[in-house]
Amino acid sequence: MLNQLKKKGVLKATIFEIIVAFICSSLIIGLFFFIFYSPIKETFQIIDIVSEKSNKKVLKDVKLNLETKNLESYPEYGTKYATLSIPSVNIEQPVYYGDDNETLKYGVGQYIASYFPGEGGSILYMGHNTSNMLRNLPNVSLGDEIIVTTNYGTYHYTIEDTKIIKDTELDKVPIKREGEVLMIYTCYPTTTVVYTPYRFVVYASLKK
Amino acid sequence: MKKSLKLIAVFIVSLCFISNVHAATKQELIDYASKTFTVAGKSISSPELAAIVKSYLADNEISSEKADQIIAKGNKIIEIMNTAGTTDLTKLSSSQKNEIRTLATDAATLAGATINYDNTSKRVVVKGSNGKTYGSAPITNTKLAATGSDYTIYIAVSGLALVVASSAAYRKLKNNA
Repeated sequence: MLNQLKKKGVLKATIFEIIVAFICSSLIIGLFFFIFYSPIKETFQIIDIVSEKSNKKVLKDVKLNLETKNLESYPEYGTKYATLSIPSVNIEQPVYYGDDNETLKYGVGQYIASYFPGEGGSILYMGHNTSNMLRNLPNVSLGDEIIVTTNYGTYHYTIEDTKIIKDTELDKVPIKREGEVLMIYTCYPTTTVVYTPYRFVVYASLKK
Repeated sequence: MKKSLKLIAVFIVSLCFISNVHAATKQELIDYASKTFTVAGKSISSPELAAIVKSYLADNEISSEKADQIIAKGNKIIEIMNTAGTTDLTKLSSSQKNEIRTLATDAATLAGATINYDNTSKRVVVKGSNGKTYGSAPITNTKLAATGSDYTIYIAVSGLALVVASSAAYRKLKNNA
């Protein structure tokens, strides 16, 4: 009887210790991630970008028909086809065709139903708000220049407007066939650590 | 007389070919994919699908006959959704979902492409027979892409662990007191 009680006591203590150990380790891991996740994530993103240069496909044969203002061959989904540069806020990013999570790890993405630079329609780009991507986007000023360099031409845009919109307001980033407008967005505020439903959008028009 | 009969026969055959059922062209297929359909009183369109079709047809040829068959399959999909009375694919019955999936797969096969559904990302991925990925589109597109950090789960785990650990420590202190 005494033995049984002793065994029960040991078992109870062991279970309690396991639970406490689990809680403590969860706490430590949780706090570790909370404090260090941002630099760790950015380090991994830098590693991703470096490895991307050797792994990610870079398309070179995109052709624009100047008469019809249509691409004659389209980039493969997830491939880099341009470079986006906003000198006033030190942004220089590769542009990929596609907007899924995997593609956005490597740089700025393009909504596939939007048009390409030079096609004369609305272009919609997006990128993460991390320091190595578009964190500085909200620091732009009206009149700043945006340069998109593709293998078929370089396009210069002037920032005409900026807006903070909700992620459900798709009508605030309309895709139209006529009028070349470059729209770039990132999550806002850029320093938030939780999911934010807001997006900071830059609207820029093609320089004549 | 024989010669004129022959001429009439040739004319009739030619007329048959001319007045044959209209065959869809590449551009008509792109226009069809870009169309806005009315399902259960609501307008639906898929600009992403149109972009994928456009990109695919820039690289690949398709016969008018196959284009017609693809459009027929597209119309069948719209018919199923109209019968179900919803534009929300998640609200369809399993058999309706399977039927749509089969029609979409068959349409892609006719064009020489493959459609895969990625369950994790809830996206449809279209690839060509050359292995090129022509596009990836979300099943439902109601929000802009998430472009921020989301550490909610870590904060929640830390907070929960903190509460449990504090209560355990408090109980121990109380028992020892």
